[in-house]
Amino acid sequence: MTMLDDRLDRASTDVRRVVDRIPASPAGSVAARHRRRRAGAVSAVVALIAGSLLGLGLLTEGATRDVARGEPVSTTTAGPTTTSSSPSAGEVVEAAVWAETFLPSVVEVGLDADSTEFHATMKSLAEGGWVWATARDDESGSTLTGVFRGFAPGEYHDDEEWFRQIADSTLAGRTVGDGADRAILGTEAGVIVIESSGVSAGTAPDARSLDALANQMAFTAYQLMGLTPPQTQEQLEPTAPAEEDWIQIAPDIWIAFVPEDDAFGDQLRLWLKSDLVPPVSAPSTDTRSITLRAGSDEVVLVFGSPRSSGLTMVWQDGESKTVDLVWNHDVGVGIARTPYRDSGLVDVIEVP
Amino acid sequence: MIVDTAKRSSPDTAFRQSFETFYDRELKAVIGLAFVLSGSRSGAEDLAQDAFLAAYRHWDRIAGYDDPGAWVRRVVANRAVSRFRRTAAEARALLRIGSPERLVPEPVAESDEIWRQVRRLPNRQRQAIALRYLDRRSIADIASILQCSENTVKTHLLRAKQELARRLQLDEEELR
Repeated sequence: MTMLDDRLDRASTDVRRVVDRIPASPAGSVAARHRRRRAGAVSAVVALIAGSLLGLGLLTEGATRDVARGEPVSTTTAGPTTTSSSPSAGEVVEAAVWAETFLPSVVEVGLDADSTEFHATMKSLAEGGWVWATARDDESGSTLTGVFRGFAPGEYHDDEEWFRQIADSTLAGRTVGDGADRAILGTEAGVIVIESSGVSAGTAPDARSLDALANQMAFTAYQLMGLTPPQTQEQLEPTAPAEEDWIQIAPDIWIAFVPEDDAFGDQLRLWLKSDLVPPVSAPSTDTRSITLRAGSDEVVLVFGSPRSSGLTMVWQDGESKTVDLVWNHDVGVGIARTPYRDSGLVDVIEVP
Repeated sequence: MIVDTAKRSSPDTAFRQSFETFYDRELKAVIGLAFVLSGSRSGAEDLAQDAFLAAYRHWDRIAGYDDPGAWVRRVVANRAVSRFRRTAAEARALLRIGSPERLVPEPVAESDEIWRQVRRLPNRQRQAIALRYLDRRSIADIASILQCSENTVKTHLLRAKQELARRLQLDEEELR
């Protein structure tokens, strides 16, 4: 045994010793937690994230807050601390939810995320406010930044150049502009910008990854804004399931809520019930693949939905013909072809 | 997930007892793993509880695995990767009433420094080190948990130990 082995063994023994001193929660606490999470998934998720990041904003070193209307609320993390304070400040909720969606992508880009920051304006997204999250690898100087700038009433504009101007003004002074890879996604509710800079060529996210992340952020932004309306239903492809509730988040992307009695939804539910537990014990024998079809459209993303209708799906016209259902530990059903895929944060299951 | 959780609303006695036995047997080891991977004294138990919750949701299936504990450890290893998840777990723990007693007690300074250096390693390397030394897992077990080959695990461990030796200013000879 080497000296290092010996030190690691002693350090392990020390940890086992200190952990033994914890008064462990009873097994019933897991069931209780399970019941709490089932009760009102939307409110639970929002409250949890809000509470966590409210705490985070107050827990982390260097947290600064400016409560003047229109000024950003900012938090900067610099490693775990044990400082605590009572939660308040609903204004960081949006930044919290935004960060929850954005930060896992950092892993995909290969950043170490030595420092992370979340910002949100006091002004709500529906009034032209914005949310912003970034992660920085101090060693390499690489950063990944995601911003959503909501449209104020009457502000919507569909000109791409205008989107870029909004994006630039939102990002101004906050990221390295030169040499940065950027994806901009304009939606009817706001503009999303994902930008990476200083990332080495071997690990830089490709355009597709940035686009996928932008689409994911669009979904989050809509949740932040409380938007679920079938505002543009007449634009839905006629081949899509007829009775679903849905929203369009981009010219070629829809989120659909499949009702319980929908045959298409039933088919999905059947698969989802069948075998979505990560097959750790039998990875080579328990994988299957599937193609989902809704007329000529293809379902390319399937999300676990916090909504009572059960499932959320995204169509991307003419894109891919195969769906990878991905287990998301928090929500349940998962995400395909997104930066999460190889992040280690989700487990991939292919279903027939 | 709404579809899957529906069937867990009324777990029968056998289901509950089976899970509780598993939970009681594995909890502290999993908290230890969560602690060394996340570095969070306050959030380690929350990370562990989240992993057990994931197992509970699918216990009827996971219980049939050769090593359900490996599944839970994999969840913890993955979740500890995310700074957000770690910090969120911390925040939840600190916001709980009576949170101080839920903190992992402070380790001695020397081991704290070693684990701090372990956490600075790339994700897979630190996971491999924690599973190998803290959890006393075999190379084959670690490969199963991390879903990679045994040779990959050996490579992670070798590189991790080389880097740790450098950071802890140990002689490279000590690795041989």
